[in-house]
Amino acid sequence: MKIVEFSNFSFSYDNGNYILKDMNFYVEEGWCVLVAGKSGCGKSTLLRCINGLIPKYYKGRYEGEVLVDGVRVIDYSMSELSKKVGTLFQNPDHQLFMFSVEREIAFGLENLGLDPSDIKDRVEWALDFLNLKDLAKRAPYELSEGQKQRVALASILVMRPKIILLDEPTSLLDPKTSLQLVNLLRNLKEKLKVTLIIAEHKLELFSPIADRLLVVHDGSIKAYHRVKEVLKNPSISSYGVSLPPLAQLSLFIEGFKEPSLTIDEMMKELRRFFNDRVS
Amino acid sequence: MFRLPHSFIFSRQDSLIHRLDIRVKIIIFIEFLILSLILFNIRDQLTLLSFLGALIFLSKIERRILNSLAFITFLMAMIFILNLIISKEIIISLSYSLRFLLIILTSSSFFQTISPDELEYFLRLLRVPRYLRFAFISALRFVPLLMLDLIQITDSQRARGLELDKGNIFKRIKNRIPILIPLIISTINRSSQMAEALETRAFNSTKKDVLCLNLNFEKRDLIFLFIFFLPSLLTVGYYYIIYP
Repeated sequence: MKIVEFSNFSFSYDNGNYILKDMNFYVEEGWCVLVAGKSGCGKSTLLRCINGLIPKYYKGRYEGEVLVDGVRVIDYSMSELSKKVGTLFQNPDHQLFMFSVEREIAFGLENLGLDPSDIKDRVEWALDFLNLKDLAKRAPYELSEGQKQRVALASILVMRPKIILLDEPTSLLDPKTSLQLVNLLRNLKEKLKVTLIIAEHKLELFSPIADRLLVVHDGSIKAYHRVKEVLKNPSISSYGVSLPPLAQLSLFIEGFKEPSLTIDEMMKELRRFFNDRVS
Repeated sequence: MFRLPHSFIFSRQDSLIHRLDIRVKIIIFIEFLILSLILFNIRDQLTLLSFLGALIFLSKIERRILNSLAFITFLMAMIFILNLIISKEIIISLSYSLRFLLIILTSSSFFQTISPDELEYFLRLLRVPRYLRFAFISALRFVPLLMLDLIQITDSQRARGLELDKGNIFKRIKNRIPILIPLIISTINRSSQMAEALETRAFNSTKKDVLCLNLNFEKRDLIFLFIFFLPSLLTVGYYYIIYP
């Protein structure tokens, strides 16, 4: 089932140049879509079109349609949309408002006017799911960047959205914490069947969990396919997308069927490659 | 180093006072503030100061208070000297200085022991609308972030050769303009991003005022209320019953 669909969609802020041009693509429920492209290509604008900030918060020339769960974004109210789409921003400090982790997680549910007993149950679940129980009473601003990111994610998950948008989620994280975030997102995808749309430069981190890779250049879609299919395209690097090192290596070696995204895949390909040579 | 602003920011501690019900803390605060303003006798002021000292000690915030004491003492000395010049009475001048000390210590212990969550709860009891409560809470929430921004901007400007501590007072104020402008811009950017995040979390989408925070009034609160109401009882007893 299509959960997000862009058809003939274009957008420009304040009637200036088009930031997004003639976009046509869809995302199936449960997919993880990686949006790549160089800075300023329109990745964040694309996410804003899905979470409704465009056109409800940012005005401009809005042409075509964006559908979320079969309904046009413009037909949703922000509160209705916030139940379907959660957004994790680049800097978690900008989305953590309360003075304790548990109050932070409850904040969105209070905004929806849910029953306090229901809120408590959901907060408990989120604390448990994201392993935040020990931090429940701590102030979000006292936490490390990785912990803040988890709290921000918990505060989104607790609203039980079908789609989670992540705008460069690892930009403030160290490599180890970035990997932990990737594993967490894999867990979300597998256990909760949440659709993930991630705008990110670091393809090597997210491509192993991504179902599709969307390459955006100057507001237009240059490629949208399975990650390995897109990476095979030699022109991809001209759009500001740097290929993951493993993929680069596997494309370099003649005889490799497709680019490897993980060490395991690389090892498998290497074994197959050498076995073929020996036989 | 002057650390007065730190004495007015909530300090997370596991203390008896921090655990008290917000209503008790508010009553004690109002009581101490009124007594600080009306007591003029040095003996009475010192009695109140000893109660305040106990309150600070039980709150485990004495270190922060001590850190700001240098600046408070400086202001007290200024008040004392000015009053001495005007009134030429040492006792009156001393009493004014003590009044200032009592007001500062009372407000400082209030802000350090009441968490913004508790304040929100209290404001809700007063039927303050949710959006106004949020404005108040987020103003408090962003103080540490603004301070962090200020440090980062100051460091980066210093690294570019900005001299902040050179020249007379006017020059020093002028030198701070390159810090102020980026700070204002970064604050505006932060507000815009915050507004985006609020929109995506359904802020102000319903008229229902839900606050998932329950604070209970316990026996311990009643005991503390009685103990810290003693200064008022003593004042009333002394001035209206024993020596009316």
